Amino acid sequence: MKRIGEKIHRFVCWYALLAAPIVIAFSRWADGARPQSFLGHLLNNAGFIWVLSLCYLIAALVFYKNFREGLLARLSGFRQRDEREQRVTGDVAKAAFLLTLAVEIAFLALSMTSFEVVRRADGHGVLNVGMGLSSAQTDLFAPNPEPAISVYLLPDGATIMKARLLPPVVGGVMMLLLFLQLLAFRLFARRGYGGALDE
Amino acid sequence: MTQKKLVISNRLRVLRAEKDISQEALAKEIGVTRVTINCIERGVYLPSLELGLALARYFGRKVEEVFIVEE
Repeated sequence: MKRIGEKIHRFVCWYALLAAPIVIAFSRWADGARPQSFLGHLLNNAGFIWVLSLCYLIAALVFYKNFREGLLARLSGFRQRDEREQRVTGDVAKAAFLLTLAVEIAFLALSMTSFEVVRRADGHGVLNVGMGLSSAQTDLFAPNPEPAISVYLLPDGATIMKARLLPPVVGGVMMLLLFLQLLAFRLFARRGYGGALDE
Repeated sequence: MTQKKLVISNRLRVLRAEKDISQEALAKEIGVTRVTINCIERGVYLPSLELGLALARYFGRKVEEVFIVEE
């Protein structure tokens, strides 16, 4: 029973990977139109099954530990054939983990940064650089995201230009990723460190 | 807490020459990669106790005869 399950799992994963170019090419060609011919219906159904298989692939990546480790280890070129390679992998994983955290923190800071240039009617100007956390950063599904650059003309002739380096929603995603990565590391490391992470 | 660092060299290359065995063959016997044997010989990698014992046992020597702590 387990072997049958594994065979189905492997078939679905290969289908999700190999059928991807065909399905993408077909959806580009069909351009949203309803299929008319037999071949069109066949490809349409194949596309629907591909979407289901893709959902399965994503779920398997999250919940099926062996599959996740096998696939991602192959993608990232992990080698653990002996103790030296295991140690090198550990060092490399640590460096990559910390670099990713640093990049996420940088992106979080950039998403919180905004610029405001005020040009008064007399020709003088002011540049304001601000950092702040807004509700737009925690609401990942905000209906009207702020534009990257907005310009206002005031009645007294002054011009205000507000600009953001990154959309605020990036900050929310980065906070989520930071939290997940730190939590995952602490949870997985707990056993390895003998249960005492803060000693 | 910092671990006291010891300078450890090894006689692996000499022992391998005495036994006339290549890095590749030794790696296969021990169950590691050839690069690991090469790294140990060059002093780039310090093996675990388990691997150190396996190497010493393979050459029929004591661990201290394969790995030397330099004072």
